[in-house]
Amino acid sequence: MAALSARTALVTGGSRGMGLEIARQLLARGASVAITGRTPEALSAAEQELDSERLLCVPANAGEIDRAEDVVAGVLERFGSLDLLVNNVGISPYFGPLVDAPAAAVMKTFEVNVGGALAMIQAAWTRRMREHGGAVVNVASIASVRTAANLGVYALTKAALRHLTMQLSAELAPTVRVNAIAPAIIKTRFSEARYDGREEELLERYPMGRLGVPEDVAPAVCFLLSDDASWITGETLAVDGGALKVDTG
Amino acid sequence: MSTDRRVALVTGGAQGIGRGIAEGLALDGFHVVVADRSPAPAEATVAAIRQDGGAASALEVDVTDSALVTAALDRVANDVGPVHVLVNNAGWDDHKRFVETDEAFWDQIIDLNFKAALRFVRHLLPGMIDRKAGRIVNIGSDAGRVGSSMEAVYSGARGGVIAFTKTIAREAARAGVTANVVCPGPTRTPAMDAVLAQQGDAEAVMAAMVKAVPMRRLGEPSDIAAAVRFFASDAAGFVTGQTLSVSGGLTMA
Repeated sequence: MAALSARTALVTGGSRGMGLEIARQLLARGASVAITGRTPEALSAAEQELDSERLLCVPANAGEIDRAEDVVAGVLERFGSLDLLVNNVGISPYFGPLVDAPAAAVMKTFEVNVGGALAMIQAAWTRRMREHGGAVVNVASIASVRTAANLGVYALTKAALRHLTMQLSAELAPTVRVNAIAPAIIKTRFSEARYDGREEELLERYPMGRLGVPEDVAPAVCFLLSDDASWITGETLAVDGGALKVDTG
Repeated sequence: MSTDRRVALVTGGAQGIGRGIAEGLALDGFHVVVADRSPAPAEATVAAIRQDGGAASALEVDVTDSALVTAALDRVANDVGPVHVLVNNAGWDDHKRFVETDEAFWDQIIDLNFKAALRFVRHLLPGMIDRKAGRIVNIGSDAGRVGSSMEAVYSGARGGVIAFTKTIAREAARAGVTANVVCPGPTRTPAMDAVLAQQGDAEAVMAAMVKAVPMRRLGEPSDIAAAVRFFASDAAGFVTGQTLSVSGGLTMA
């Protein structure tokens, strides 16, 4: 795969789980990497684990949309560039039928999962990528294309993120490419409640016979960010082990 | 001359997109079997790969002839080794309105653009399942996702490839074999140049195509090859049953 040296990447939610593994693989391919994280503890643990002079840790809450400009400015100040953006942050605060979902939970989930990603792309575009080009990968979910019991609110926001990917890929081409990945359940703290204690039962739905791990997802993200994918934009690539349907909770 | 390298077989591998895929997989360390009905271009592709330090061999085969496919794949098994990566790339179309086509034409297009992939998968998948390793990458088309005027039967055949691949992906997943589809958009190849040459104003047609593509350029065989190389890689072991358009944002199916 094409190297990413001399590139600067920003990974939101990069202190844990998928984001941490994406940051690790970007560093391994030679990129300078900034990660955002909500809690100082997780960020400093990630900093120790990744242990690289090409790493910048930025405390930021993806829900604070007006901070996107600051985050991008901080990356530019440190590295002088921003070429690759991974919108990995996502929340799923409400678990239950969509028909019962409280409006506040719906709005909050949209704010972070869609509003946060959009704000980050807008800031990256305005401050850097409009002039210098770039590539964006949004981490959607297989729930963006299938129904998912009790995850309806989350699925709605991920479907919106998938459309955002197509819309912005058209608006920002040919300067910036925008793609998405759609993971199924990946074994991280975020989705622990979905698989803990019922992995065997879940595996019946996964033709590959196992749940995904962050190491399955990061190569797909790196591929879509690299010049190998320079004629791919607006696409969503599922990384789901062939899963027939989404975990129903 | 069996090889220490893992083996990748590319149908229609002599020219155009297929040649780009063959060259790309050779860069990844595969011994590439360049399967093609035209021996001279296949040998030329093999020579180019060897010149760059890669390993390859030519295989003359008509993908529409089951007996020839079987014989050719038996030779590969004996002479080169088990196929780890199968790329069904061979394909062709003649642009006509559907109302101007007849059943002989349908059979020809379906045989080449759909059944050829079935023949190779039918022959090679059992070995992949036995070895618990393998990668199938079928070349589809955006025509098979969203349709394409003057290409009704071809679109149906390529749509068939996509649905076929998803099912193969489900059936073979537990054996660790993946199957995915790459859908090229308009890509600069000798075949496209030949089609353009038949048009009155090739440059105007080319400009119109470029304008339709959000990335504002046509694809190169290396663009398509990069996606195939990703699906063929060990890193993509959890990605199966997927259809990825490499089309500069043209379709977004």
